[in-house]
Amino acid sequence: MIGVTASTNFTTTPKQISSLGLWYDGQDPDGDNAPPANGTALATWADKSASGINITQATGSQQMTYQTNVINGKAAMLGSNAAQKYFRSASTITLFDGLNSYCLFAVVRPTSTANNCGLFTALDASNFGIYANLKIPSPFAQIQHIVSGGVDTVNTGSSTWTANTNYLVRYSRDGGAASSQSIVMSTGTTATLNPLVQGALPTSNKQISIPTNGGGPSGNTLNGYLGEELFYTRMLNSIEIAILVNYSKCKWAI
Amino acid sequence: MIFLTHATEQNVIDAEAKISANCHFPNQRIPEYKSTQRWAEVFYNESLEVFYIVKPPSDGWSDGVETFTQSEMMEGVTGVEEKEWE
Repeated sequence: MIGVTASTNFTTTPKQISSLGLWYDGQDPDGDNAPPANGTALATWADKSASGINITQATGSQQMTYQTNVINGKAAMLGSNAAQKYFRSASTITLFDGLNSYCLFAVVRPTSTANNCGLFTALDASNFGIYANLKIPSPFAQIQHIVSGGVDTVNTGSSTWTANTNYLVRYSRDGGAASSQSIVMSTGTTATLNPLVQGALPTSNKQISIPTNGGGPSGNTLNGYLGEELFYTRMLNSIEIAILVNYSKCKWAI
Repeated sequence: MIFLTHATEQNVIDAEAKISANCHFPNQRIPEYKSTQRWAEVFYNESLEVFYIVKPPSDGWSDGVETFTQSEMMEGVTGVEEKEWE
């Protein structure tokens, strides 16, 4: 791991690291550098990567809202499990075709420890592929790591995160079935870990859901604020990860 | 969170249609990009045995172009009951 000290200025953008497949920025959800008014419900969250995979929600009560001053003074998108707030892409995306390595970064501030706190899914009509939650329910008994306040937490299915705390989380997969996976970090510390958060990648009706949809009393949808999600279609090296950690720490003051 | 509920699905469908009309849905402000088709989908709560939709929030709702108060959204809505659960 390369030591990185956060500074108040950051010039790196996620696009400067190759293979950026998806970029959803809660500070700029329209992707035009012109933030909406506080409290605005959004029908579309624009993808700021070159992929241009905008995600949408046509039902008003299920649209996330743009909220100012929520993650260390920064704006983010507010979700609700009870109201089943999420965005979804078209079902024809090809981003995951042949993919067996990836890195997903998420900045999140859950407001509840109930439910599974879903952040990202890649799915087809009936199956989850990549399934990134703060909690992984059965039968998805894989391992994730969350770091807050410098303490690594291995989440094997229990609710171990803390409400109203800011998290920078990384999920990754490097190669085939049982490769390294996981993790990370509000401190810049990277742990290397175990098998992974993924079933078979979708092969038809391919779409993504952000956050994971499926609300209700035992649901999966995020309760809280989603700051940013970055998805790279390959495993990043330690220098690249360090750069993105620094970017996130500076941008979100985590 | 507060929901509008009823054991009869049609009552909830009618309530949702009224709210959507009050909010000028469906809109096609930017076709294929920014549009809202309805206020809410009607779901069924198996434990309570009621159909339900999300009640408009107390501080109203805005899509950035139009803003509606809860009262404006609920105007003329009848035949449903309010319940609260998480």
